[in-house]
Amino acid sequence: MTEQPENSSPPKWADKLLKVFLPEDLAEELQGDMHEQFEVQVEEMGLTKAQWLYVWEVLRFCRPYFLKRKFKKNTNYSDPVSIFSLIMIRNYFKIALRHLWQNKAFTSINLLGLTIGTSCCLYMLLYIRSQYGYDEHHVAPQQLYRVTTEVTESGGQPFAMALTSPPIAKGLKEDFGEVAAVTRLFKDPGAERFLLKKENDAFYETKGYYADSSFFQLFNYRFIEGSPNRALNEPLTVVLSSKTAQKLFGSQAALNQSIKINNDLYRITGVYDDANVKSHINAHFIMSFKAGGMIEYLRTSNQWVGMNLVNTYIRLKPNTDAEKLQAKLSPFLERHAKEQLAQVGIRKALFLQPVTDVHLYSNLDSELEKNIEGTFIRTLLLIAILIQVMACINFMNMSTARSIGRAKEVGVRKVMGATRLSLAGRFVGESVLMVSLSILLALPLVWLLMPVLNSLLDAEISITLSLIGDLFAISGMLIVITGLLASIYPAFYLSAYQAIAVLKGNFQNRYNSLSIRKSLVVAQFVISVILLTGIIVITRQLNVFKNRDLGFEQTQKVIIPFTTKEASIHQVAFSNELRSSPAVKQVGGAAYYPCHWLGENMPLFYYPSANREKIGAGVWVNKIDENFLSTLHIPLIAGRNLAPADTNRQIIVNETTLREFAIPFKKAIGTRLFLEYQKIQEEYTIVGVVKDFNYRTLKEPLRPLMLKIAKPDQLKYLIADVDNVALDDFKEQISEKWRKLIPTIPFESTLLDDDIQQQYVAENTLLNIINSSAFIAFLIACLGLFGLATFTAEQRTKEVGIRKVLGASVSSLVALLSKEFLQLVGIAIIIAIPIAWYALNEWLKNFAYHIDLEWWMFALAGLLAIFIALATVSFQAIKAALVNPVKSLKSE
Amino acid sequence: MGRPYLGEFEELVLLTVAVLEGGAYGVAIASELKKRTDRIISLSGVHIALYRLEEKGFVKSVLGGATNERGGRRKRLFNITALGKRTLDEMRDIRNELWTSIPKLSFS
Repeated sequence: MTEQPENSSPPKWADKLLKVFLPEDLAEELQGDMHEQFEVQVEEMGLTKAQWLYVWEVLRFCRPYFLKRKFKKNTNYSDPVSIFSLIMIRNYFKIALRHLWQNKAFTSINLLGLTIGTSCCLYMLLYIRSQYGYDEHHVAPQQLYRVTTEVTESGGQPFAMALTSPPIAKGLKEDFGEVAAVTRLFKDPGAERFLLKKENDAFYETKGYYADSSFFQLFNYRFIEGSPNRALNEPLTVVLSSKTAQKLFGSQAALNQSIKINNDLYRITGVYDDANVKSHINAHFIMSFKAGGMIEYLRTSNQWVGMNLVNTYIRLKPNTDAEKLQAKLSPFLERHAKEQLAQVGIRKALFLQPVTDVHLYSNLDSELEKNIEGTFIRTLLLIAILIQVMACINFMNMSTARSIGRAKEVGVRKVMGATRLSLAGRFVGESVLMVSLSILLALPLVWLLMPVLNSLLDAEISITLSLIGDLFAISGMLIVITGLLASIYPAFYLSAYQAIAVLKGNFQNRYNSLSIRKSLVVAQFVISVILLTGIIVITRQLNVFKNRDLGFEQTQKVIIPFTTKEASIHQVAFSNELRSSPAVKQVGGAAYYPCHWLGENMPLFYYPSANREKIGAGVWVNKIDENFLSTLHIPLIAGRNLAPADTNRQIIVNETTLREFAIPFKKAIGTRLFLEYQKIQEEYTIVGVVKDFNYRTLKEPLRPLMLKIAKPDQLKYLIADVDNVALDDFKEQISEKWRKLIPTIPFESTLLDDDIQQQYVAENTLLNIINSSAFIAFLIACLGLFGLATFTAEQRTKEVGIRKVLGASVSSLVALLSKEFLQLVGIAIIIAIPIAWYALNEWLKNFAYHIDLEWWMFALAGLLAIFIALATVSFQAIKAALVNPVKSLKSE
Repeated sequence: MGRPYLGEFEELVLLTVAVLEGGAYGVAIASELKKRTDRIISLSGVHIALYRLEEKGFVKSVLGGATNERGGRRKRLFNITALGKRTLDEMRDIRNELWTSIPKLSFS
């Protein structure tokens, strides 16, 4: 071989031709063999012959086998594997899992954040979902409407209520062909509880309503016993919900049994199934409206303007336009009530409200139940979304921050032929995997925490079979939305890397990602700071409710209700018994007590002098006994107390009444006010003035009030002012006395301050939600910050090492590493304050008595945020600063 | 017969791979065959036979290291597999059986 001349090579063109015939993967070895043979042949038979033979051999390579193989290669391997093929998806999962496993710290931070966020979201969405679908179980629910009333006193604000006057229902049925059926439901405002008695068994039950016999034609329930058709036709009949029937009769049949409700004997004509039925009515039992006495008077009343006491429901005929009907309601009222309206001097309007909307959107006066507020649902939804977004931000930041590691992977994949879309899909898939994992963790978490969460929201959600569908739907939705949200940005950011630049070690778009990352962190802290400010302000506002001087003493007051005649007979005896107890300082009685003020409102007039216009105002009325004021320590500032000898024409008023009627304080005693009603004029004389006290909720401004002396049977409540003794023991003692005196009726009592706090349940719930969501938001934000700080500390290990070697102190290094993050938090605070100020100001406007926003609340929130952020970041910073520089620098 | 078909030339190539014991590649096989059979052997024919044998699983191949000969191009070295050996054995057995079954007088 060594003696071969340099030019003893096969013809170049033949070589090229050979390449045309050969499949690429075989070219090398075959050409090698050819050349080797050529060299042998040159030696054996000389150059020329060998060249001829070479060409001949090349031509013989032009064979179907090689051509076919070359062609087959083309179809098989240059066609890229689809990114959605099973192999690739399996590969994505494998790589994703490896990646997650490799970065355990970041995975757990991400997973923790996402799990917390998802649990939160999941529960809130379940709650929101449970608030929908009320009154959907009736036949054709979209045809059901409630008639509501708006009353405007002359010169006053319109006052919207859920109730109407009694004859309106009948009038609607008679006047309008499009109304298929009407019914009325009456909730006795004076009877919160009813005493149900079956033989010797007795207990108090709430939510007992009176209804017209047509009630079950409009509202459809499944009857377990009896039939809905004629259930309420006869007087003194009652239909029980299945729960109430269960309480009374257990598993025995209830139909045609008799029970005593308060003082009357009722016959049970039906039991309907109320399990899994959501309705804004939610009655425990429904009595026939034909109940005699005052109820019968109300039922047959012809008062078109006053007596706004009944719920009126109508069912429209199919294909009726409710709006058209509503337009006809004003002339309708004009037709029937013109005279009466003129007499009372108020304006009145009627509205139609879809029954299916009542639970979610209606918040009028005198609703049957406290309905959910739209703003509450929206706040909840907003918080759920914000928390989930914060968890997503963590995911995004963590992915982009750690992108340098991934960038190499992206580069290599691109070199291997991955398209940008397939890479983006991969990252999306990875985040969907994460979210799915977090849902898997969140489901049992939510299930475990359900009781706690329910108590926070004052809700009753349990994971039942009927909820599984919702749960799956919500989980699926969360996976898709969160998965996409968390991954869209990193996916496109990461997949945009240029393979060459990455593999060379250049990252052009680093700066870009850094600023986006920073803004995301700022966004997280904006949310956190807003929620934090929310906590401070709402807590302060609730403290106002709790601690504000209401104008009377609210502690150590025991309220004892008298719901039945049977009990009322013994009221005086029981009150004497109470007084004989050494712990009791005073016992007073009243028709209503503060915060339980359901009483009447009377339009009164005052004639300042002959030549001046009369002044009118609505005045709330309460009937009390002579001890009421001293029991509650309400100071009398002028005149005298009421005495048993007074008639109901002698009244005590509050200061607001004087202001409203512009009566000078000095002239107050002896001034007369008039009730003018259908040509009858009743005269009331002021005998005393009390200092203003908040007899209704602090959410409303104080209104005029008059107190009259009560007839003995009008005292629905006794209030005992008790010494500083243990109230539980005291209640036990008096219940003993009650049992001796009135053995047939169970004893009941409440505490005044508890009842007062009951009014602020909604606000307390809101505070609970804000509290816990702020906590969660902060936790997630801090997790994110912790992750980023860890990452930065890792990145700058060498820098820190060098600085340390050059003499930097630990404290200066910690400052260096923390400074950047604190700046972000600072910016977040600056952005958050105006937003928080606006939102909280709007919220506070809901309340008549509210705190003012002060600068220190925002400062406190900001300082807290900085402090928590600092604590989070400095942990990593200190750790990084304490590392021995030898360790961080020795490797290079 | 369950196993793939083995042509006459393929059988010769397979046998040569077995003979060369690890040193079998295109040129070596071709020259060995030329020496033993005195037929005109084309390199392309040998290669096709080798690749088909590989597809059928009778031989396996590795690319050898680069050498200074043949312009630095690598050789593909072929080795007989267990299946290849078994197949050769079977074929010889069949042939032997057939040979022994031939009535003696016809040949001699």
